[in-house]
Amino acid sequence: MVAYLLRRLVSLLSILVVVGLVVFFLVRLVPGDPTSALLGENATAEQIGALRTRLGLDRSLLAQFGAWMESVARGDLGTSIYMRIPVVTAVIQRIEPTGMLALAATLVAVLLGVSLGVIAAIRHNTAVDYAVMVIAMLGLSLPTFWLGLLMIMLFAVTLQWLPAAGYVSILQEPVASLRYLLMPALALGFSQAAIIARMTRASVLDTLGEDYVRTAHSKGLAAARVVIGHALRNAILPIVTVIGLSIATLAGGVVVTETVFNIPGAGRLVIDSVLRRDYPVIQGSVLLVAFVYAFVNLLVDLSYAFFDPRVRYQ
Amino acid sequence: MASEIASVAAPRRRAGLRRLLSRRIAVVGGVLIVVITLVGLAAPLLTPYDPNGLQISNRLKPPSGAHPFGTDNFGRDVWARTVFGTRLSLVVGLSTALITAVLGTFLALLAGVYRFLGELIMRVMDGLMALPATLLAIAIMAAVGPRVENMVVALSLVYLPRSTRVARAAVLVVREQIFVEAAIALGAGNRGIMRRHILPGVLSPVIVQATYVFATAVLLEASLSFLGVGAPPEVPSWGIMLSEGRLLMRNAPWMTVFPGTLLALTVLSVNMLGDGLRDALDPKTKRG
Repeated sequence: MVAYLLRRLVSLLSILVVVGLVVFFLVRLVPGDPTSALLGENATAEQIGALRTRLGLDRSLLAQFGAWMESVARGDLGTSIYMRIPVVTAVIQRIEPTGMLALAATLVAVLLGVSLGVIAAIRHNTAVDYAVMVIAMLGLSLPTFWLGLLMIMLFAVTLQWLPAAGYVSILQEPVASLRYLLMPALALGFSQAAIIARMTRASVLDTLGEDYVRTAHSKGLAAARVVIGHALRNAILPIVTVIGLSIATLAGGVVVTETVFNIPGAGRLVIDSVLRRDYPVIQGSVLLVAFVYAFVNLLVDLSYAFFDPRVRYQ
Repeated sequence: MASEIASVAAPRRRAGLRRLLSRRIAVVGGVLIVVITLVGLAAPLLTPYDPNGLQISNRLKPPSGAHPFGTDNFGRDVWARTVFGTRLSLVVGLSTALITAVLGTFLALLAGVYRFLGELIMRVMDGLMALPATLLAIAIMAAVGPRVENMVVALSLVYLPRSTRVARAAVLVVREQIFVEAAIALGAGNRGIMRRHILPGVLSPVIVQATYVFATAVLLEASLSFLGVGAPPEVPSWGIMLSEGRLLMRNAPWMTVFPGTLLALTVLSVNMLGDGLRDALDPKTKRG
């Protein structure tokens, strides 16, 4: 287990180095010099030269990459050109709405996806099964942001049940916060629910045919206990894998959903930074997300042993 | 011998086609995508209006005989913009699917022949996969600027690792088959084995994966354009139309409803075709 963990952490590091390389060279792809963004167009050659030396831009690319990775390892992701605050601070300021949205959407996706998948598996080849599969197909195909817009039209503009857009901190007004979160979480979670439902259905269908399920039925266990305690319990690993994978899609979906619902989160920060050409923020937040994602994936892998004690890490 | 193989392969391919046609979902998806493609190709014939033709006096008109999908805040015909928008989505989706399928297969075969290179390729792909697709695409577009070609490159880079992984997994399976061992024993060279024996076995999963790349690329293109980092403003794009419609949802819901419906329909039909293809090409998956 310890050896496995160590090996995973080493491979995590190698992934982060590749990610770092990609992000580093992406910003170097940008036509023009970052000094022109900082100094404006009327800077003298001397000013530009001095700034280039100060930023280390006169060194070789390899040396620049080394220096950048070193500061990243120290937790220093640079300073925002536009906001003039450290990138880490800027992201932390925006993390609450994003975290809440991601959490709520995952909750929606797992609850909706697993229950729909189980229901479809139990009612295999009936109208219920087909209905669930159609819903899942729609979930895979409807663009998250369009679904969000349609929900705003229906629930906010026409019915006026929910606020159309915005965000209220859960710490200040918990009830209002949930009202604001409901639509974005549903819009974002729906497509993930579709993927989870399909996997759950397939996986539970496989275990429903097993001998131990028949045994459980024949010894008189209640149907619900057989399905949840035996069939779903043994079908859980592929479902957990899909949930882990869906977190990456969610991270991307957050950016779009925050824009649709005017949520001042980290995703919105990325888009604003793109429009302002604030490269350190783009660079830093992409790296942060990659780190969080890789870490979550490691947790997902480690959770296998929790869900299935037969799993051994080697 | 080659003709014998061909004569065996042809009925098998026909059987695959028959299985595909027996899946109603695939047929519906396929027909829909053909219709949508025709709409994109025939766009100039389907509307008398220029998709970028401004007519301020005619702004925000609800759907009518003259403008079946209404007009937008600049008085442009929403129907014209929607049908012309089909072109961008299909071009971006198809190019991305083709590029990732061809390049991914090539990399996977390369990784199958040269072990060290294979390790290196797969590590780089893992690194790229560690970045959420939307975020990586946004970062690339931020660096290279909003142009259609750039978007194809960005989306191809985003989906290449996924396609390479699928092809790589297939290569690893096929490589262990007895007929490959026989080819090696007969003294066939690496390249010949890859091209003649392994490549055919890799094609099915790659084709199925390509349809999913097509569908997600269409979605991601629309998302990027919606966020303002995708298509340039002069190209009619469903994503851009939806981002304009978002601000006028109360006054002009038709600006949001119509392009969104066509976008969803396009992705839906490609997904349906993909599901049908998967079942037809992989006899192991159960029907139902």
